[in-house]
Amino acid sequence: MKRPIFWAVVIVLLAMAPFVLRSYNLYLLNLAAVKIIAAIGLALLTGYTGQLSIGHAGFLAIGAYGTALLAQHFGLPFWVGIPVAGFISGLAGFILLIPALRLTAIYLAIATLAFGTAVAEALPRWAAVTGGYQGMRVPRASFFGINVQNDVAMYYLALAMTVLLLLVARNIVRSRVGRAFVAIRDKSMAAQACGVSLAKYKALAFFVSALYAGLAGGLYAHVVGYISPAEFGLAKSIDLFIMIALGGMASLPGPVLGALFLTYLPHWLSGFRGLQSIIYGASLIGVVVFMPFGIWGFVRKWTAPDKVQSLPKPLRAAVAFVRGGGGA
Amino acid sequence: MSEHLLAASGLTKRFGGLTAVDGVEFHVDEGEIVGLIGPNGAGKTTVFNLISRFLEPTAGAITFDGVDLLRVPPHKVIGLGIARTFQNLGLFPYMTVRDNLLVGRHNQFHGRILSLAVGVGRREERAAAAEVGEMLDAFGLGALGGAPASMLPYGSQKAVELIRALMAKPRLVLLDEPVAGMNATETQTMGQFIRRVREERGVTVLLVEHDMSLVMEICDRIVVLDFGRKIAEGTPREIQTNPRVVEAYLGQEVDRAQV
Repeated sequence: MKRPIFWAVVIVLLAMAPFVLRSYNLYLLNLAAVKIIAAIGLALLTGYTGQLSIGHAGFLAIGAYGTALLAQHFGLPFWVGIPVAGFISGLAGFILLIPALRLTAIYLAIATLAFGTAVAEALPRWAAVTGGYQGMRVPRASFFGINVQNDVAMYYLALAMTVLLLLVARNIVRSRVGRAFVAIRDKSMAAQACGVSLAKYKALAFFVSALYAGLAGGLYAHVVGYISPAEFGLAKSIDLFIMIALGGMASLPGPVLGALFLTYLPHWLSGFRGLQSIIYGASLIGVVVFMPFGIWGFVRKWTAPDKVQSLPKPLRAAVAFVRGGGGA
Repeated sequence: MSEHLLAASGLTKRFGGLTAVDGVEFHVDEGEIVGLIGPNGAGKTTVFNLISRFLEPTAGAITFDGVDLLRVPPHKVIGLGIARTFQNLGLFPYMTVRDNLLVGRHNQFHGRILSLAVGVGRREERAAAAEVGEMLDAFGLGALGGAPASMLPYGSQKAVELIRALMAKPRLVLLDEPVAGMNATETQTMGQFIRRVREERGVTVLLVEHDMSLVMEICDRIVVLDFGRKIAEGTPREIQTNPRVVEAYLGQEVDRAQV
């Protein structure tokens, strides 16, 4: 099957999902979309540009609270509020540029961890604005007066955002910008000798990555309708990292697969009460051990063996880090 | 002051107590192939890294076509017309050969991030991609465009790196040990390649190399460094018979140990 036809069929099938699936399944898909968008953003930063971040939940929080607050205080509709909050999150991404221009690898990861923790700590303490530990209700989404705060409408919003942001990410990685990202990751001196400004492209990577996370956060706010600080803690950042490490981080299908995997695995396991986290952990280890290049790398090994390359070294270190093995 | 394409004067670099480059003065004229040689640790690569602006000199000046190079950040050196290769390969291993060469053209792409993100403004990149194919064909590497750079044999990787440097349409290329680790045949091929770069494209070449037969064969002029100092300069014939050079290479081990 030709590629454009394949994708057209996929999109049509996805667009028909609301006619087939129950509301709860749509809700799950919406949550998956949130994770996919955030994971793509993190893959651009960590997988492509080699800048380790384990503080990305901070950007999700900025996007989610930003969207909610813009709707509450300024009455901005979701289709303005989400992009604006995403943009604010993107600007916040520049905060991480300060350590990123001096630190690499695990040291940068620690700085990003500090950022994520700072946001997670600030949210409950700034109770006057954020509602503190109780969280806040997100004003209902409406489209020119029509209430669209339901799973079906949110599904189409999530689908549109995911497709659009995937296409944008694909365009970026295939352009000189994407090549500059990879050049910085693999050999930063050679990259500079080719005319790539480290400061400029790292800034761009952090901005785009934080923008994606912010947009994901904004979508999340409307999908769930209620947000609280507990959802944006360290665990969420690590979840995101696991998604891209599992899926295959220097690719775009990778984060999509990783996000779907981490959305549905806990769901499928909900029947095995008590054994849930054991099976969950075991399957994560299984994927990392038997698919060292991620799920996408595993798929490619069978579908396009000539194109499979080993994982770039910094990412191996990152995977080792996640597996608790340390690694330089 | 300078009719020289590249000129360094009083160039000095100290790392703590170690003086890696010590008051070196040399120049490269348009169209020349100049060799920078010297025993290990003589400061050759340090000189390259000073020209590439990866290192800040302790003292001295470098000009390129009359422009003060020391005012230029590393990523803008290529924009002036200076491209380079690296001693231990500067290819991006997980990129295809084609993409590696496109990075070589990076500084001449003008597509803005916003238009690139929505998928327009890539005409210049497509044109460059076509040129990449021609370049690879011209150097007999046409079949390798789609392969990841790290999958190529070592000699081909060295050649690809030089082609990448040419993608920027430079006036000067700095080659850091272009034939290191190559066998005699590969060295021959690379030597012809470097000549062609000058003859067909009019690119000036400054190279660091330990393979003396290659250096003597292709260089118009040779600059010799030893312990960070310039000890000789001249044509290959002059250098071969220069007693100081012979001493630096063959050495007087006892004297060296006392220094």
